[in-house]
Amino acid sequence: MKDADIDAGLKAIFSTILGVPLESVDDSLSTESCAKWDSLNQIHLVNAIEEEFEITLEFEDQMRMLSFASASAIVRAALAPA
Amino acid sequence: MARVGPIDQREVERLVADPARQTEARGVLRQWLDASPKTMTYQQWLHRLPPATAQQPIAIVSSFTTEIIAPFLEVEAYLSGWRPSMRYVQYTQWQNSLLDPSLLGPSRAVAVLFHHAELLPAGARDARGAIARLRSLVEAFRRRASTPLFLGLVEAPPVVHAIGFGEDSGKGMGSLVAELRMGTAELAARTPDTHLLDVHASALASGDWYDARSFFATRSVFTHKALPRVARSIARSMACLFRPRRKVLVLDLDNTLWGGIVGEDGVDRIALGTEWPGSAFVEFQLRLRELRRSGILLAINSKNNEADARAVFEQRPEIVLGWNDFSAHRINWNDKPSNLIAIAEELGLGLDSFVFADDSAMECALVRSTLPQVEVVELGADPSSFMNRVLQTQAFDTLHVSEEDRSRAESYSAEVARRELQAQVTDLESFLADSDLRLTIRPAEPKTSERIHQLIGKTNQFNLTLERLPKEGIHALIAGGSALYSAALSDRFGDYGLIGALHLEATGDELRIANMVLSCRALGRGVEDAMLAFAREVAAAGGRRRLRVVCSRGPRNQQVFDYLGKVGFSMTELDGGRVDCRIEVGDGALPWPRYVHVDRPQEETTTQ
Repeated sequence: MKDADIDAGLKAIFSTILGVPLESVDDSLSTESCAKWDSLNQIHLVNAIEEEFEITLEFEDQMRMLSFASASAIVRAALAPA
Repeated sequence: MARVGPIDQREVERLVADPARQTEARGVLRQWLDASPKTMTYQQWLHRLPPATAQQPIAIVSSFTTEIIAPFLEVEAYLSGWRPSMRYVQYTQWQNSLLDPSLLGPSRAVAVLFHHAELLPAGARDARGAIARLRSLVEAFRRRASTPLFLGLVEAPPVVHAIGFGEDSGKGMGSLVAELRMGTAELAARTPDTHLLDVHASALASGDWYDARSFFATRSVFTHKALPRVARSIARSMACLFRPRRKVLVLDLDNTLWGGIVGEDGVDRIALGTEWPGSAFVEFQLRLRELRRSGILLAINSKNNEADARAVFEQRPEIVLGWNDFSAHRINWNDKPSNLIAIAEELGLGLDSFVFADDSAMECALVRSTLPQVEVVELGADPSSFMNRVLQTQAFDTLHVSEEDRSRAESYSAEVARRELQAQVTDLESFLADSDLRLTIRPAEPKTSERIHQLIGKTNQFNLTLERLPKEGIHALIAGGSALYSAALSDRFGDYGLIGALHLEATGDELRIANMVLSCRALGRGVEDAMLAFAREVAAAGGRRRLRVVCSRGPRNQQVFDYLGKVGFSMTELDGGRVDCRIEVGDGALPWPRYVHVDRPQEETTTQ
């Protein structure tokens, strides 16, 4: 999967779960900048990412996924050929 | 997600947004979510649900983290026909909140989800302590609150037969959890308004339902794979409190009750018996008989020659349901919507209490588009799935089958006999005189409170004030000795059971009818006259000069106003659809009806 496709898929997930406009989802989006990104939505985000990309995120990755940029990097790494 | 099978997303969105087609909308959205039961699908539809006109406050009390279920529960509740506003209790507080229900705020229902490890510590030798603890929590709650409780035991962490610890299959934690499960079921059975939630079975059916690391890291029990089914289980059970059970299942005959077409294949060739597919049709009929025994009326709506259809019932010994198990028959060449309207008129029930099941997609589509208030079940071609399809609508879900429910279908059979007599005798007077009607009016008691609640809650046609008293309100009236009465009716054809309720309040020189409701089954036989005559007698005995009731106009109770006007009430329109109705009780007002024998309390001078 191309990086652009990964980011497009991720943006749809973040926009839906956090209830923010699609165009406002970019690398600057983080737990600090978005009040709706609480611990509960963190779980919804992880679940949606795992389902939509058909991957399993390591527990440590789930914990450090605190910005859109870090989510993108984590998903890219998970989808990279071994 | 633009399309699931034949369903187009825009079509689903259009239905969901259309207030007149909500029954159909729930059906197609159900199919959509079943095809893709994922976090994103639920979250996307969550934002597309129509605005809730009424929300039911519920509380989720749990020994583990459950807030994550919220979006799933909200969508599943919509699919079950109700909308929630949810309150969650921190898992550290779950026992405290049962001991002190005020922590839960005002709720219409409380789900208690608990995992066995919370009550059964490792090394426990029996489950008695765990069951006793659970009982004390539930009983403490019940002493302080009458809110319905739903108990859901979750077997987490999952129990494996631990050969390594020397446990064989009959011992160890597995058998203790089984004991706890039995104890929970017994507790639910003997505690009022307490029910079981099958959350564990629902979770298991989701496959990979438990993640040990999440449990120990975040104290969450269910994986996201299990959340849709767990939410569905809670939403479906609670829906029984918030939406009425439908009353009638109308069935096709060919390829529905039996395999094949009787008019073409002949009575001897249709599939019914021990061999597939006849075996599946026999099983479907057995399950329909169970449904009938739980209070659901069955009716036939089939395009056939009636003689052909009757021949199956008379000549095929394998048939389970008898002709008289159906409360109405429309076997003709009319269109099915017209037949449904005729059946509704014959049974005296609204079409919004009907479910229509047919194997033909075309007939189903026709009924859906012409009678949107009818719930339609497209049975398809596989008879082994028919009953599941009927039950999946949730239209017949109920938490409790009362004695009234059990006898309903029989009393409708008696109604068929009544109609036959009515057709024979030419005037209503002699029919009533011949019927031997007996009305028994009694002060309400705890044992009749459930039926009174049901009557007040469900009666739309002969309901004077449309005020829906909650169960707690009825209990309080009974406990306080208020003038709340039940009325039971029988005639020579059978017993109708409790068919009416009357609540009186004396104020000054007036006796107020706080409410009066009568089941439509009892109307037009002089019973309403008898109830008002009784109220008049109570008023006179207490020295009151008039009877007064402030009625409310609703969509279906116009006959109340026609009737009160006919028997002499003066009426003044008030604001908000209310009507002030009065009648002086002297001089022959509201006489006893001639053909109803009334058994009533004699000393009625005190009303509160």
